[in-house]
Amino acid sequence: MTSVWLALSYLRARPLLNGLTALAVALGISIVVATTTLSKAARQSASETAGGYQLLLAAKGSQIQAVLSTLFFAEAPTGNIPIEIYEQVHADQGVTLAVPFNFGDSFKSHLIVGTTPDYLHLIRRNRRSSQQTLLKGRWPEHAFEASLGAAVARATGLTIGDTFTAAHGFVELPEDLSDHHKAQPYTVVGLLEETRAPTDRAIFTTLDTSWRIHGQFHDASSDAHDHEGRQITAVLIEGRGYADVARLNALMAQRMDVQPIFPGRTATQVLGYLQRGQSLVTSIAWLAALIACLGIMISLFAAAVERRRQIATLRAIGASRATVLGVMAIEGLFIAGLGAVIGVAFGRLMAVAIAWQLEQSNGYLLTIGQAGLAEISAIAVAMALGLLAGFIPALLALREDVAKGLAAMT
Amino acid sequence: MPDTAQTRVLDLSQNGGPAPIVEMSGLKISYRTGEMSFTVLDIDELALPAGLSIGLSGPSGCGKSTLLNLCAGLLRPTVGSIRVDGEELTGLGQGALDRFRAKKIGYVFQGFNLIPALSALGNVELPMRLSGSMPASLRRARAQELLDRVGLGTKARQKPNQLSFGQMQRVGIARAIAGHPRLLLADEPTASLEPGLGLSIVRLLIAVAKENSATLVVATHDPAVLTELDHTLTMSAINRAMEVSS
Amino acid sequence: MKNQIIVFFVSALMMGATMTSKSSAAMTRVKFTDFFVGETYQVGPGMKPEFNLSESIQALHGNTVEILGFMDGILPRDGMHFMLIREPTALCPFHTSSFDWAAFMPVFLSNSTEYIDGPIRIVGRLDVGQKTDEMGLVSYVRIYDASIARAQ
Repeated sequence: MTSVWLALSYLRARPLLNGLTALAVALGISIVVATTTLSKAARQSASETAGGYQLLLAAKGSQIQAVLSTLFFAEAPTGNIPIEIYEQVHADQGVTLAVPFNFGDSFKSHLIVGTTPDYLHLIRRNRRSSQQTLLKGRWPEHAFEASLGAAVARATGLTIGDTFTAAHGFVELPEDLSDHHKAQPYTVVGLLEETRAPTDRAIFTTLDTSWRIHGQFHDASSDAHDHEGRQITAVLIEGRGYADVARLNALMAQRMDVQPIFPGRTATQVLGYLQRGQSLVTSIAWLAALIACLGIMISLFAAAVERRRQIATLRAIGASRATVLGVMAIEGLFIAGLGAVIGVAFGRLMAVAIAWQLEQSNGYLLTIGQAGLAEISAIAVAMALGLLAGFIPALLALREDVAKGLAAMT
Repeated sequence: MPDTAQTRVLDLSQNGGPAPIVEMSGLKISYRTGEMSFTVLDIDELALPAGLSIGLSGPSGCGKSTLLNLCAGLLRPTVGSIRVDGEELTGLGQGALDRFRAKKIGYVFQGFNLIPALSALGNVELPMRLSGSMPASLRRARAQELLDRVGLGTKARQKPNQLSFGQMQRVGIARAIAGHPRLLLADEPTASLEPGLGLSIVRLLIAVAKENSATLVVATHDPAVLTELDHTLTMSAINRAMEVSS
Repeated sequence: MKNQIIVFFVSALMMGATMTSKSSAAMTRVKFTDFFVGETYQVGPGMKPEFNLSESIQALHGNTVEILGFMDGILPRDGMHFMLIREPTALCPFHTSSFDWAAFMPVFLSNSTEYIDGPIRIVGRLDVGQKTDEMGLVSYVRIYDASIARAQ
């Protein structure tokens, strides 16, 4: 107890130096915590979005692009596939859910997604619950009706009954150039509840809306689009079980106009690329934390030299070696612990701020999870290093003869 | 100058006075530097009576501090035996020696040696904390009481750097006596102070030692200080190592 | 005081050590090629070749075994079972017209998993014998109560 009291007195005697040393630890730990928290959130978001006995059928091309486009609404699609594929899997006994996607238009950089009411089932399953109403108003039934994701509604201020006109493609064109769809505005008929998932930043309409647009777009060539055949961008299916998904996968793999993709696997691959970058950042952050702990040791080494006579005095009036050792170890522990706790708090704050920034700028939604073992072990490691940082200078200081220390100038 | 009656080796077995607090016999402290070995302290027999104030006099380098450190258990003799308050120090391990020091020794230093991070009160509390066993309220009360005794009752919350030299040494005295030591050692307690101030400090030291029934041993080269004490030992008379060099 | 500090220190170090070390209890390591005797490659639909379960694999029925392999991409929503495959093929071997019976094995986990890229190590209770398993497939060898770890 005397060690703790003395350590705290010494710590209080140099608030600025100890505060700065703790701050250095806090900065290192905060980067460690921020990167691990964000990557955990990204992993969580990906696994919630791409899970289950799912198979994505999309045009040939990059699997990653297809998954990012269809499940995350974050990329241009790979191309189109014939509507017959949707009709075929929709009718299949082994398919419990088939959600078609049709991309083409956007409104103020929010993607307009043509789909069916089955998309609502997909959201429910991804949220692993079914009790939510999910929707205020109703799901679009006719072309040019729209339901808005929560983030879209928030950003645009649109509500049920409002109308808006979309831009063709994924880029908002200047007023002068974007006159194609002026003739046919969308009407908002529903507002989706917040899902903390990509759903929030998309606008949903019926599958045939984009076919109408194209019909209108190619008006000059009358009904030429009918000859091309109606197309969709992708279908996401969920199978009854392993065998059905495997069968459909084998079946679709034989076709030339479509490729089957396992979204979970592709999402994991994307996260794998991210992870490599993240682990590099995390190692550098740990290095910074380690250097900060070295800073504690340097500061305590200096203290040991400065307190040469004080240490001898303590010994002369009855302090044991363990007491003196304890004083400096506790000082190291306290500085590192304080730094680490501040670091964890600051790191999580940083993660929340970055997630918020991502949501504001890209509409990409990350839900920061509860603090857990990672944060506790970061604090524990920092404290162990701090303890060591106090221990070593104290051991060296205690090697000096007390009588010699008493005669010392400092 | 102290009179000749006081300047002698104290041999209490002949006087039949109080029991000795410190007994040394056949004690030597030698250092080895390369091939050379030299002895700084060589005491045949020495006994210091309990309850008195005793001065150790002699020029610097004559072994006064070494003798005090020996009594405090901070140095171990190369050969020989030293008993303090009946306890043979050469037989004690490091931990037992630490406990012995915390319990039986008070130490006043030339440079005061206060812990700058602690207040005056904290410094006085320190030895009581180190020896443990005293409840916090009693400990604090005694520390405050001792500060009152040395005339610094109102300075309890001050840090050492807010005190004058004289005040610092008063805190040093209060700290040294706080743990109820049997033996109060003072190494040149007045050497850093003005002569007049030094004398008042040494009178306080003697008074405080008496009040707490501690034996006081003061190493000093100041004759004015020696006159205040019950007895004076000149190092040249007890340290045979001195005879060789002088 | 001194002892307390040392105890704290040692336990901190030990905590770090146990985090990195792996439990290396006695268990048998099996390979896909250990499963069967005879030709296992099926050349077309309904053309199952003649093969039998090897004696060594039958002897391990009910034992804890370790096996290396890759995860097939088809995962249920609860992540409690999957198909372990011998090679990291882009397509699962099942229900293509021709495949090797000794190239896949159903694995039933005791804890939920997500898809893991790259080689994995499975430790669990070996179940031997032809049956229609909980994945609704006919299989000859499976692993229950399995734990999963990334293999180096």
